[in-house]
Amino acid sequence: MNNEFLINLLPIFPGVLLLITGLILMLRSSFSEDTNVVNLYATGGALLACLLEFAILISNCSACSQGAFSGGAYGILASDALTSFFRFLFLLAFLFSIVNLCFDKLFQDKKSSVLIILFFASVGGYFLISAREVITWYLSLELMSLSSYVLVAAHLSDKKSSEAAIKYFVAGALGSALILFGLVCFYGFSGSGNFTEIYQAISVADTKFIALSSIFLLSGLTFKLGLFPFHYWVADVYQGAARSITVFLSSAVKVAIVAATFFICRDILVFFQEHLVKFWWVVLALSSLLANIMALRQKSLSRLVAYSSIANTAYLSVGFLHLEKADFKLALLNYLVIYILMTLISFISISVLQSDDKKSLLGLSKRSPFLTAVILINLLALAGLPPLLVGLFAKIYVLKAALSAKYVGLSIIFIIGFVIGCYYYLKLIAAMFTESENSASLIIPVITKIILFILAGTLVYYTFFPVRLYDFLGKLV
Amino acid sequence: MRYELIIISLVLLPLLSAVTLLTGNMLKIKLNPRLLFQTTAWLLLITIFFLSIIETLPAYQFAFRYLWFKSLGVHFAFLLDGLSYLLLLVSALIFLLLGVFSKEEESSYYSSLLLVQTGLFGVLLADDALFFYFSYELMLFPVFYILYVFGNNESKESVYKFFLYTLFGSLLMLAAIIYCGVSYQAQFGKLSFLLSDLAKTDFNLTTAKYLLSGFLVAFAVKSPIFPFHSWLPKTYSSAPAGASVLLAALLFQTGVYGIFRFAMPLFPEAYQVCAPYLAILAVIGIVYGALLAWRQTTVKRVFAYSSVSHVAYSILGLSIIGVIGITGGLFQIVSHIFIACGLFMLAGFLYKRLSHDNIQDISGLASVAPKFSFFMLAYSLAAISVPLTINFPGEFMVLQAAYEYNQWLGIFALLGVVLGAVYMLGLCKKILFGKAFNQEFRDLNKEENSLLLALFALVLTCGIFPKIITSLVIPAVNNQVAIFSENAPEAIQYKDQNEYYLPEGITLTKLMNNE
Repeated sequence: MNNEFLINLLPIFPGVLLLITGLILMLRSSFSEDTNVVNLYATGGALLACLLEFAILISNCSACSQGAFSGGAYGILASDALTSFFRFLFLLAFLFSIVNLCFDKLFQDKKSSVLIILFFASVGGYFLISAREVITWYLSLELMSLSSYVLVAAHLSDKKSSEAAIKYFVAGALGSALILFGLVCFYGFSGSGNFTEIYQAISVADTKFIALSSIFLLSGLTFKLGLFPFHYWVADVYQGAARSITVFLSSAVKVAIVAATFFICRDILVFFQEHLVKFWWVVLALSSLLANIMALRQKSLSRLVAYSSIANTAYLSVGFLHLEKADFKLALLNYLVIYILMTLISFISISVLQSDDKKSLLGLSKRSPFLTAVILINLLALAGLPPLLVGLFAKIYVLKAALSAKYVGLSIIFIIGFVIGCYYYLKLIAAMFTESENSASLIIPVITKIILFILAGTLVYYTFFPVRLYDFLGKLV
Repeated sequence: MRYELIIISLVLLPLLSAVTLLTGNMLKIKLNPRLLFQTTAWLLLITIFFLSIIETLPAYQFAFRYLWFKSLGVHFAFLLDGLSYLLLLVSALIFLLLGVFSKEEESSYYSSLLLVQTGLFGVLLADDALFFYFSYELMLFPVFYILYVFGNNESKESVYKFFLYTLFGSLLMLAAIIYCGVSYQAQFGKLSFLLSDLAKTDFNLTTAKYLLSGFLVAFAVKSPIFPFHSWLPKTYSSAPAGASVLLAALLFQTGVYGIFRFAMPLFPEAYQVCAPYLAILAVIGIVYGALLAWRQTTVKRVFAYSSVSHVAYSILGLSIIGVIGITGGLFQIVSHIFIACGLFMLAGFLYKRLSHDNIQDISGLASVAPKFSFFMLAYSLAAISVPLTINFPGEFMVLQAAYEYNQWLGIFALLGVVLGAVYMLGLCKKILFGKAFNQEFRDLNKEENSLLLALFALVLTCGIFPKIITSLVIPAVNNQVAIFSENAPEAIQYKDQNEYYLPEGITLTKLMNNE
């Protein structure tokens, strides 16, 4: 290992750290099953990775536009400011999922196994975001996806988990196959896997054949994102998986997939932008409408939040319509940040409630004022209502991007989606304040209270002091 | 003198009180919410009175702005002129009365009221379209909370309908605002939502018509204008007492004020094209509301439909472009605030004593409760626009403008006045006179008496000296009419070309150059 290798490794060191932590856990678990020590290693590893990534992000931003580490690792992996930001968001969501899992009673006997696979999934996600080369990208995607399939099945005694895992596996494999077909066409066409070289090859050649493979690639990515024609797996998987795993799937995996789609769209598919816009338009419009309408009928909380997360992914994906414009990139990044916070709170609160039924929210204002306040803040932000202006800002940026490019029809469809979304969020809020016979006080573990307080506090903080966040995001684009 | 702090405090004070109540509730600190609310209301009223020392208040056009964040280009921009001042004063007074009138003990009720107050004052003071929108939306959830948690069980669906209907309109207005901001950015380079900036943007007529309709839909649902009023009757009639006062007396003014402050200056040509349709809808609303009010079976529903009818007068006034019409429309806002407050308070007292307000089962209250009957009859006469009450000058101006604009419009609007007399006096006849009431009915106690008396004194004062209101409103109206006259002069024909009323020493050019 000479110096050059180490220097090239430095920008992606958090990813290497995650891998090392996973391996240490694997070694450790074969010797002893001491839960506390396992928790410590896991949390420590995740936290360290997160902090390192933050350091990289700061150093990238202070060295202004040309990141200090761009073009590292032989052009296969990138580490510029935007990549670093996505990775930081991913690691933050991952950290929250790890902390939530560590204190979850559910996996007492096999917690270390679950943690190991989680770490491997995070390694996959980390390198997925950093990859700028087809094979690395696909390998990381598969690493993360396969680990996720196993994680969903981890709760073996629950039949719903196994069913959800099979559905996830089939849908995910189909998506991966479509992506692979598209990527292989690009690879074969350009003779090189590197994104920039693929783009150069496309732009000088006859594009009819390549346009077809871009549709395959995009369909596969829509599968992974969980948008309209391929959204049927999301509700089942989010409901069937154990709560802590759903926290990971809905936040960290979503960040990784959105970032992966972002870089593919920006570097390769941007060549076909004017044709792909029509595809995205239909996907986004129908996702937001159908997901919101389907959420109206749900009796299960996790399915309801799953459908609402499909709709929210549709709103944030408005950025993919015109990735070359800063407005759209800003809308995507902003909505992604707020969405991750809100999703984390949603699924962590569901795990605290211990029950999947909407009726478990009844009378919550008497049973646990803290949880009521947190869920109220979360739902108001999701609905985009003042006093939680942070959600409204996110929606305004989405509408601003759409209207600045004159997508009036799409804006109106999104507005209809917002209104339908408000209806079921309001129903949840109203259920919390309704009188109910069940008056047993809800006990929430202290760590969960701290996590929820931090997340909800961040939402409230960004309502009143949004300047730093938006200036930062503006600099990134 | 620096007035900025005082004006910001008008919005900050209720917000801080609401936050205090909420955190006190969460930290289990003992606070007396009613006392806090009443203190806040008094402080606000005194502050607003203090602002009257601004010498040139009616034409003041005071503005200051503070950039919130550059990325979105939204400012905290405040504008205080005669109309805003008038509506702020009246609203603060109604909140004070509401504080005395409400008998709830829950602190969440009062924190919601305080948040509504923040939103309302933000709406009345806003000079920036997005700040206006945030305040407009801020009022939505607390009202939903009050109506849902403190209302009775039969009304839950209607509360959702009210909320979603209003939200849909507001979101369409948001799309229009964002489009305006983006167009300003395309034309001038930087992103800004200030009213004066947005007014400079050029729109072609088709785009302007669409944008105007986006704004008007939101205001049409809020204030309600005829086809969009279907949320109103059930919501008002099943609302708890204080909330219905709140809704009827305070929230509608955001719609009408929004039309005057935002829809008119931003899109003058498009507004002149839309104005005749708006006038027709308003007249239909007047007659429709009056006819339906005649046929209702509960007191609150009669008042709810009469609300539809009276707000339609404001809209009619605003849709006839000319000093008299618009002044009448703005005057009607104030008169409806007072009268709706009085009427719904009376309905609240009635409901509290009898637990129902079916007209069929009530009669002859005059012999049992003379004070109540006196006020019932007094407010009914005020609602009918008997001269010497506040409703008369405003309605007269609206009717005069309507008749001059189009003879048939004026005749149908006049029909609405007659129908108003029919249903209001008919209601009084049915519940106050006739066979003596055989059940227990406590007359008004001192507190209730003084509330209604104070309000009625104001109704009479403003009716006898309407100059109090018109002098505050006229300069803003002149500004607005001047904006209309420099565009598309062929749209509205006046009988007399020089119909403007201008205070001495101010010429039209001076007004137009005065930003």
